[in-house]
Amino acid sequence: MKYIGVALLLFTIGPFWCLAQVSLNALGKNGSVKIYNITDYGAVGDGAVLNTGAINKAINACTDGGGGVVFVPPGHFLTGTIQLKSNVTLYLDDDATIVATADKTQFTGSKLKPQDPERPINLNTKDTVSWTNAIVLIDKADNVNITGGGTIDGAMVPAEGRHVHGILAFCAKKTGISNIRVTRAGNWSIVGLYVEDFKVTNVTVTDGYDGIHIRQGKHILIRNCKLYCRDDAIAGGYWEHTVITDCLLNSACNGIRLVLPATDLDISYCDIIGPGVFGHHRGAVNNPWITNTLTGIILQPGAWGIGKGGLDNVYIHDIKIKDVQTALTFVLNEGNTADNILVENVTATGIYHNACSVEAWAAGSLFKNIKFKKLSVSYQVTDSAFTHVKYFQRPRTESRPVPYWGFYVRGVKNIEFDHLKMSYTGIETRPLMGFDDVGSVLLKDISYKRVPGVKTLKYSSATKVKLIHFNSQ
Amino acid sequence: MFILLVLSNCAVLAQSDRPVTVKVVNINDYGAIGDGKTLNTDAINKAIIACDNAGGGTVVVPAGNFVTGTIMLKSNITLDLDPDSHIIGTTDLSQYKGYQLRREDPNEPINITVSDSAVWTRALILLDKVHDVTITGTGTIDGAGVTDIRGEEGHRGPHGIFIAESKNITISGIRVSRAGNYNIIGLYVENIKLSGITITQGSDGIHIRKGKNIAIDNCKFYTGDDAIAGGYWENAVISNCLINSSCNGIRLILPATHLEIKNCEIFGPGVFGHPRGNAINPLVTRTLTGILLQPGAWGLGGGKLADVYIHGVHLRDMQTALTFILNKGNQGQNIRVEDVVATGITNNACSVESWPDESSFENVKFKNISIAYTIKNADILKTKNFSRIGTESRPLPYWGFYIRHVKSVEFENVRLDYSGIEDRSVMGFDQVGSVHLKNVRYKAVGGIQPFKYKGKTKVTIENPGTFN
Repeated sequence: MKYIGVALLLFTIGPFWCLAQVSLNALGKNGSVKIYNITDYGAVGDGAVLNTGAINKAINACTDGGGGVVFVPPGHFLTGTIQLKSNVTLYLDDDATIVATADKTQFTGSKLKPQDPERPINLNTKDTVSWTNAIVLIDKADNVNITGGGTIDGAMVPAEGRHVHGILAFCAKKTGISNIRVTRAGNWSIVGLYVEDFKVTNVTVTDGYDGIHIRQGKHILIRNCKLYCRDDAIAGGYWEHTVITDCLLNSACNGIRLVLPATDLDISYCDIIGPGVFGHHRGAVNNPWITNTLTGIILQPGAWGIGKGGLDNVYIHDIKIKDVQTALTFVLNEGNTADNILVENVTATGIYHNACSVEAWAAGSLFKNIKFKKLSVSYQVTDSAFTHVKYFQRPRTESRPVPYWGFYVRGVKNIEFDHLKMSYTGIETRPLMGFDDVGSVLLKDISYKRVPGVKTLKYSSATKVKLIHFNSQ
Repeated sequence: MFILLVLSNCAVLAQSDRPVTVKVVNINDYGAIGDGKTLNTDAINKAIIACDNAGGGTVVVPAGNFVTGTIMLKSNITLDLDPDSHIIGTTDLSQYKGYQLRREDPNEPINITVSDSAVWTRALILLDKVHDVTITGTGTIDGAGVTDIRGEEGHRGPHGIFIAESKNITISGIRVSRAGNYNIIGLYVENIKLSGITITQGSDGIHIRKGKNIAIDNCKFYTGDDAIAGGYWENAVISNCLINSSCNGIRLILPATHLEIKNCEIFGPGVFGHPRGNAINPLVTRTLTGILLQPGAWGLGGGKLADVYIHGVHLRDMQTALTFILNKGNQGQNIRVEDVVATGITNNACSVESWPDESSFENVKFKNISIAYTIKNADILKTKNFSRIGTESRPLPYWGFYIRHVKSVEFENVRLDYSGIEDRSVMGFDQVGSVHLKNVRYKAVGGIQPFKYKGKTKVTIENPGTFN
């Protein structure tokens, strides 16, 4: 064990004292904090020596000493699972890289608790322990931080089947992940299951499957993260009080995908820009890697397995979506209702497949109040398979073509559009918007490109429609 | 998801849209096989020659993985990459061709100092003295990261697309990835339109030396080296681009006139690293400077940096936001920077600097600018002495702006912020004729004089203010 005061620490690790001080001050009591350098426990950063034992020894020593900082100095530290304990900060130097070994026996996971049938997280895996295998595991531990400027490198992303996650937190309170890079995770890069106070800030994720995936989380903050993922950039569900802000999301699947309910969700100041830097393995045999970005923001509780609950108090604002197939898709499934959704200041350009939609198909599911304010969407649909859609059904897991080019709304009590700008290039033959099973629609200050000879809006007599300043461009 | 895929693979409309009068050839009809193994250099070039013999037309690359050496495009040819088509560079270096670089004009040298230009100019796609050429579609040109120990720096391989002494060239919609050297390079070119291109990995993204009428629009760069670079540009517009680089966002190393950079986002750190690190971690991902205009930096080249308009630019998480510097034989005038927001700047202040006695900037204006610094390395704060810039920006004894040898500079609606500890002045002016500061707000550094002047400077300050 090594015990050093802040003064000595600053002297020892001079060049980054500024950062170190920030985290150490946050953790340390009376101006001192215990530092455990993994190399003092036998770790060797040569990229060849396996360090699973050494790093975990340093963590155990830290825990035995009441918590502190486990310091990873410059080097390539090959390792299996690193199990973080309560009150431990894993601090990665700028030039420190933790590299996952290819030896699968070096990894461990956590034994997930039985699902609450009322709020199932729907991880349908045969063996949850091996499914939860991760490079850094936070298993029933609180007040854990991972920070510094270094990298956690999964070192392999299997094309089919999955390897280990990057960081997995299970039943954890107060988790902070900041300033690091997570790359090439064999499965998801950052996973939270049953977490509370979960903060991911200034993190860059490159490659790997999902970027940040959280199921059952309370008080989640994702800020200033840049996620370049093969699969969904941010996904999950059963979120309470979640803020996603100031992020750059690049994905070969979806930008933000909610597959279970959420309440008090605020998504702001994000750029969601396709196509994916890293491709997703869903293509043809010859070219399996597809880089198209599917939907910018897709909120679809129940899409991957039913999960009851509301999609309530959602505020999506100041978002830029560019060059993706679909901008916004909101879908409810069995057991889900939605209320108080506001989408404001959203600009989407280069949308090349499907209209935005707000859809409830399942019996008993309904969007009560939803409003779009200052929304601008410009479509560039070139494929006639999309502009000549006649029949469509309930969406499955991804958005699909509908017989409207701008918006499709179904199963909604009240919907408002205020300051909406809709345009397209190319040949279009469909109405701008379609409404099925909608109670009332307010369209105010609407500017849209006209499709000659085609009725602009389609709705039944049961829908009360009010138009104010409704003009074609 | 799978239904969508099938639909997106369908290219029927794209093909039926082509005018029937134009000769359309499919490379498969000339023996190309997209199996990812067969070498298709001859087959693809045969298809192009057939099209050329018919007076031009469209050469279609269907879905498949076509391994090939250099594809020589001719005038009036469109290379159309179908969805799911990949042109992949072969590792067999004998399959690549370059061309003989023309002799340098000593008054406007492009400074490509390579011992064997025919080797250095090798490329997967070569446009050698042609005109009216289009590369379009949604496929990929994949350099496969081919390396060559005979190449630049002992490792660089062929470039992706090389446009040499050509005009009326359009490249749109495609992806260019893993070039052995630069992804797209242009030398002595005119009327170049590059739009909707995604560039991943490789060295520089788009590098143009001597180009007239250049438009780079709606491109996305994720490059190891500089995203957009070069010089001797006349009428260049870079717009609506997303730029990610492990070196610099936009780097001008030779003069430019009428340069507009607008509505771009330049975000660090790099997705793909640059090999400038140490033995343990060779790949460095930190982004250096967002926009670095430094004619003469890699070898002198006389001329002006004039009529530059940078606006609507968002810079984030990099070492330095903006660096403008003149070298010997360069003059700078009418440089306007407007509506620029920079956050997470970790190393160096912005600067406008001219060091040779006979060079200077004139009429430089910064308007509606907000920059937030977070200095990561405390050593930077101790900077006392500094000298003329090398090739990259470096620490200065000012945290916000350094201005040197500028006849007139204006700052209007400028906000400069920092977090952490700071003990330097916000701005330093050295041999500056006139400075106008209007609505300049900055975070106060206790006990430190905010502005420092060296030499005789006429200063007018309107409505200044500090915040804590």
